[in-house]
Amino acid sequence: MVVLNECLTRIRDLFEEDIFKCQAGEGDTAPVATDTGLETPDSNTLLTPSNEKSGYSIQITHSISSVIGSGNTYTEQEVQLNSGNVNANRIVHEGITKGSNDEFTYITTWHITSGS
Amino acid sequence: MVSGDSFQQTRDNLGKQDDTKDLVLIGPFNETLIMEEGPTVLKARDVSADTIWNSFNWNASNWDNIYSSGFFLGNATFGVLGTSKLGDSPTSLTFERVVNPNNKFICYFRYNLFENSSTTATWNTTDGQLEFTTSASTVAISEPVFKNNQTVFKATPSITTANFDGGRIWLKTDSNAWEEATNNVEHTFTNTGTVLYWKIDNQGDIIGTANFPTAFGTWGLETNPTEITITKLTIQYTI
Repeated sequence: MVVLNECLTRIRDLFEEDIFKCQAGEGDTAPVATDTGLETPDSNTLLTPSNEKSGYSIQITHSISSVIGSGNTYTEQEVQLNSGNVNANRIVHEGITKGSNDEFTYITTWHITSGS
Repeated sequence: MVSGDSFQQTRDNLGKQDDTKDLVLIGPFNETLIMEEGPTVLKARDVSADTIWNSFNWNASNWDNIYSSGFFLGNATFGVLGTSKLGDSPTSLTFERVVNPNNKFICYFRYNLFENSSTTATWNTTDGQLEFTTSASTVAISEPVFKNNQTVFKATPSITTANFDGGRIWLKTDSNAWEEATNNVEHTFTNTGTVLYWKIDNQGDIIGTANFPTAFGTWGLETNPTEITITKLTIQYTI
């Protein structure tokens, strides 16, 4: 009659294994749960992230090199699951323009917990 | 057929008594699975000063015209293998954006992403907790936990810990003035700004220097800061 810790670990691992790629974009409408992707994705930023697990948490790091997206003003980012067929989230932020010498890194954290 | 052990009402005094009804179940039980989306940080850096290349610029012909550091062929100072590095050390990534779902920052201390280098408390990523010991005054200071060109007016910190006696939490914006807040109480900023930080200490700066034990107990000021272990910190803010 209680959710076990090993269940949390298993869910964390399954989620982490399902992470496919991350992508940034230039859409700025507020995110809603019914979104199915970025509003204006930049396919050049569709890159495989690096993931780090700790406890029941996962940290996802999406690095965009200086040679990608110069001049674009990024405002949104997503984490893709299941070979890109499903998106885990979509975040929107104030725009920031990427210069030709700029390297961008998105870092997102997820946590799995249990409650009563 | 039903055995006597599993059908107690047909048994007399033979076999083990069914005492499952006497079990005392102590709740609450964790029966809900929660998957939380935490903060998303966008960090950036200018790599124009990179010498030759680094891992993010492979094949990018990102040569530098300033050989003040790193490895540079033909240079007597910076062309020494084993001394100067082949590939410059990139500049540090800076926090450009930090956004949180529902304007609520959540930290389980599993990563050092938000740990400022001035932190002296133990940011224990192995156990997922922030530790303040009794041996010394210690403090934990964050990197920006919200930064999105929007003004923060109010914030409510919530600390998960068995004991916060003697602990203090402070908040500040990029106006750079720490304001003491109270756990689980909404704080209205005197100095508003667009970047949010937090700081927690264990009141080491107001601890006295000496106790004097007597036959009736120990008197005087407390000599040691309070030991505190924090497993979760949330900050709900209003923009």
